[in-house]
Order: sequence, then structure tokens, then C-alpha cells
Amino acid sequence: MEKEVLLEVKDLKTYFYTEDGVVRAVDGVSFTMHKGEVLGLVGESGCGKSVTSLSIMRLVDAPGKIVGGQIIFKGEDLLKKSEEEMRKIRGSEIAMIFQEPMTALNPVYTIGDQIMEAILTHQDVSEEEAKKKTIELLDLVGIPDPEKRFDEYPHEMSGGMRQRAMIAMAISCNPDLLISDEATTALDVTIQAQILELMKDLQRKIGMAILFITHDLALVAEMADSVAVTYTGRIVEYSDVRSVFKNSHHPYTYGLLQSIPSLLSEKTKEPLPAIEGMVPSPYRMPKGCHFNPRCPFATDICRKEMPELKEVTPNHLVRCFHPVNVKEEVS
Amino acid sequence: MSDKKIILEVKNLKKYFPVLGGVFSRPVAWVKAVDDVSFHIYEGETFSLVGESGSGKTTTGKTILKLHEPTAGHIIFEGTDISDYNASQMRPLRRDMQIIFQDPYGSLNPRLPVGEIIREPLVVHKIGTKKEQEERVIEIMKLVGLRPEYLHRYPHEFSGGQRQRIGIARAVVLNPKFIVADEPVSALDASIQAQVLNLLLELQQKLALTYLFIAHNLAVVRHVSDRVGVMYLGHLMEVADTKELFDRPLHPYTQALLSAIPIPDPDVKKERIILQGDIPSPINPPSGCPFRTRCMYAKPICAEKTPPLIDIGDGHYVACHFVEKGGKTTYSKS
Repeated sequence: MEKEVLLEVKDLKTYFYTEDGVVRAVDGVSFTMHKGEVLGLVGESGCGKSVTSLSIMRLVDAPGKIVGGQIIFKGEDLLKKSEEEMRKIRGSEIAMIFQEPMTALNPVYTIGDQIMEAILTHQDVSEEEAKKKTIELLDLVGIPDPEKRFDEYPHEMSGGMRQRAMIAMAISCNPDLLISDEATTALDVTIQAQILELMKDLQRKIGMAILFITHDLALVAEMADSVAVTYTGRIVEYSDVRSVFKNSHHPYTYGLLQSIPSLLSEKTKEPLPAIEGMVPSPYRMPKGCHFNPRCPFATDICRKEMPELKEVTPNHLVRCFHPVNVKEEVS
Repeated sequence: MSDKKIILEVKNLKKYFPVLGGVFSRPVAWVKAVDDVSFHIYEGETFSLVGESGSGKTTTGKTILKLHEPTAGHIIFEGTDISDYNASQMRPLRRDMQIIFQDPYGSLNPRLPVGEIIREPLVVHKIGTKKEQEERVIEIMKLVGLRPEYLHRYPHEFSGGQRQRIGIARAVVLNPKFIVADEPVSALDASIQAQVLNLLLELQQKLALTYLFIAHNLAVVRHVSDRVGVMYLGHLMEVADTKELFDRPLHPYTQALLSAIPIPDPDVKKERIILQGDIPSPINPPSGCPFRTRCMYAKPICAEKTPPLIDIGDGHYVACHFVEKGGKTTYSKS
């Protein structure tokens, strides 16, 4: 059965016009999310994962500009919406959580007042009902003593509790899409486990889709249904989570998975198979495939042309002239 | 086992920081960052301290190097008790004891070219002529994988991974014996982490280095360490050989910590122990066992007595009232 499409990003291009030149932070990114799906958008710094999420929210500031593409959310192109219409969508239909909760929480208002305000802005309820709903939400995200915590200021809470409060605010209007941008990166591992558990639980209860943005491949393996691996503003590999991790076809994905130390690996104190070199400067992108200077499989064509993102095996898209791990199909 | 030489011994180390307050800025409370920690490090090994924020792992590392004055306890480096050494007594020892920081950018002087940054320790310790120093700098740059032609460039012209190489070059230029590596790869991108970890392993072999490796990423720690100590709220909860610790964690905190680590394999579904609540403040830590407020096995005794770190056999140490010699555990859900 085909699931209902929630979000379709088509050939999105977001460029930054800086004094030193044009940075193509997002350069032709396309993906589709279905209702209730968790899509992991993974990549290293400068791969454009955060700019993609800000573009969906239409929150890209100068010198950045969305210069092309479509963002079809529930059948309508968000790029054609007025600022007024976007304001209604943000927070109610699409919500976002960040690495640093203080960027989303206002330090001079109590946690309770902020969540209540979000509810009152987007929903037709009385103040009393909004307060009741706020306390329910604080309870739902696992904040102990929600009635008491309602009157606390963000600085009075620990990092984990602030993250929970931000999640409570984000889900206050039952969004269809939650964008999580490195939301657990700054947390300790035992607290991160709590927050991930909470997100999974809420996703099951509310049925929202999550665009899960992270640099951490392990988190993606745990959270996502499907995965898009990004490198220098483009998706280089895109498939369901199992295919990407078990049958990585792009040399970058494959190399990354080989190079990260794992709790399961038997080889310790031995050299890790590292990827050579580093992510190129946005002002000096190599010609052809952007990964070619670091790629052990690069040939002449890789140094001349940018490969297309195309289907290498069923439902598995790869941007590479020489995909690895592709078994010969026996007919 | 017996032929292993101890290079560093830490005995009952305490480091308390004052919380100043009131009109006269007097201490009104103390942050017990490190509270009675004892361990030793063998020559040539990598001993790791792991723990979450506020566990005291970084403070322990810095106090060992006397970058903080210890509040109490002993630091014995190569048989000499250095806990009371003043700055001038420490200076000759700094040749042997070095540190690598998490944020190499913050620790590199932005106004000096890279060659000068790496040469500086040689100048401070008056080692060699200027020409000899410059030769040594080139040699070290090659060793850590920096191209010698970058000698005259400034820190901001380098990427994060290269800056960490500069930090490492500066740490090894004096040919030290012991290096505290404080979260050396946690600020780096995944593809760069492996390069820097490989460099640290390679240097350890070439230069016979001993590392105290401080990190929160347990997958990294498992890869580089010979032995691991787990810290929580200023206390050591468990110490063991790496394989033993990861295969047979005995302390309830270590078990929860290991189970919380995400694994980059969608087929592995872990039985996860989700800890309740937050890490308590080190200003006002719980009585008795520091972990008892989050421990699912906590019993009344845990609030009354701090469990000592005991050797349960084969160099495996655990601080829990319900772990006995030989590794028998008697904890049960409370």
C-alpha cells in the first residue's frame, strides 16, 4: 500500500552570496517524506543539512537565498506562500527543535507561559484549556512535577529538561512534521538515550513524520526509516536505512561506516580505515564529483563530470560513476 | 602482568572548587569536581577516563598535570610525589608531561605562525640552537602529517583536523613520556576523527608514549584504550581492562552507560537501560554512593555509605555495595 506523501522537496537550491563568492550550501536536493516517516539526513559540517531544514521552514536569512526548486508540503508549494501564511504553518504544522534549546526558548518567560503562548497562537482554545494542555504536555515529555515546572524559567532547568521543554513546545500543536536538527548532540549519552526514547514514543503516539538531521550515523541507524547521506550540498546516497547501512554503494558512505570506531568491532588499537583528505572549501569545489579528491575509486570521468543521483539497485539512489558493493544481478 | 612499570599513580586525589558568594566573595559552597580518586597508569599504555559532563574526568587530567592545584591526595609521577611541587619545580617535568586539548583553536596563539607555535616549547625549555630547533619543527611537522611548507601559515588558515595536528605536534615536540589527551577528537567531523585517532596510535608506538585519554565517546575509547576508568560525579565507579569492561560491566552505572550508546547498525536492537532523572549537581552531591539517585538497585545502605573501589580480581575494580570479590553481583531491583 502506498503511503500518503507529506513533503516533497524537489531540486532545492539555497545559495549564500558572500563577499568571498557564492556558496552553494544546498545544490539540487530532492527527497520525499511520507506521513509518519522518519527520514535521517546525515552528513558532516558544510554538507547543507541544516540549511535544508531552514529552507523548508523558510527561515534562510541574507546573505542566503532560496534560488530554486519546490518544497511541496501537503500538496502546496511552501516557496509560493506569503510570510503571513508561513507563520501559520510554522509551529503548528511543521515544528523544529534544535541542538541548543536556548535558541528556541525565551529566557525571560517561564516555560509554561511560552508553551501556552504557542498553543493560544495556533489553536482556538481558552487560556484555562491552554494551561491544562501545557501541563499535560510537560508530563507527556517526562518533566517531573509539571505543575511546579510550569512556573520555572529556562535557566532553572538542566540541559536535558530544557530539551524536553522545547520538544513539548514543538509538539504542542500536533505538527505533521517535526524537524530535529542535531537535537541530542549536546546531551550526555544517558540523557540522549532518554530524549531519543521520548521522540520515538511521541512519534508512535502522535504519528508525526520526523526529519532527523544529525552528523551521527549511529543515531540515524537507530531512529530512521530511510536515510539521505549528504556531501557538499547534495544527496549522494538515498534509500531505506537497512540498504544504506548494509549495502552502502557510495564510496563516501561506505568509507565513513568503515572509519568510525564501533562497539561491535573486534579490531582495537589498530589503524582505522580512514577517508583521506578533508571536505573541500565551499569556495574551491573540485571539478566533477565533489568527493573525487578523497575517493579511492576516482577515474577521469569523476574529475570531469558531476554524476547524477540515480537508482543503482531498486529504491536505492546513488550519485556515483563507480558505485561499490553492487552485486552482479543474475537474470 | 608483574613486569609492567607504573608511570603515574594517583592516590585519593581531591579537587574542590570554591563557589564564591556574599559581600566578601568568600566560599559559600564547594564543587567537588574530583572526590577521592585513585588509579595508576602503566608505562606505554592508554588509560582512558570516561564519563558524562560533570564527572570530573577533565579536572582529574588537568590536576595530574598540576594545571589545577590538588585539594588533597597524591600524584606520583615516575616515583616522585609531585602533588606539592610549585611552578618552578614543575617546569623541568613539563618536558615529560604534556596535554592535547579538545579545541585546538582555543589553545593555539592566533598571532604566531605554525612553525613558531610548534617551536615555542623548545625555546621555553632552551633546547638546542635556533637552527636545531627549526630542524626539529620540520621533523615533527612531517611526523604528524603537516606539510613543512605550511610553516609560515597561521592557525586560522587550517581546518579543524589540521589544527588538531598542530596541537599534537606542539605536545610531542619535547619528546614527552606522558600525554593527557583531553577529548582530542570530539570536535572533529567523522571522517577526520579516524585520521587523528590513527595518528595518536602511530605516535604512541613510534615515541613510546603513555596516554591518559579523556573522552565521552565510548566507541572511540574502546578502540584506543588498554584500560578504562568510568567516572561519575567526581568518583571512579569502575576500572578494568578495556575488553573486560565492555564485555562484563559490573557497576550498574557502567551497564546503563554502555547500553545507552547508539550503534551504527540498524539490525542491532539493544536492550536499553534508560536511566531516570539527571546527573545531580556536584555542589550538592547525594550522600553515600553518588549514583544512588538514578540507580534502579539502590537500597538504604547506598545513602549511608560511600562504597569503596575494591579489586574484585584481575585488575577489575568496582565501587558498589552489591558487587563482591570474584565479580559476584547481589543487586536486585528495589
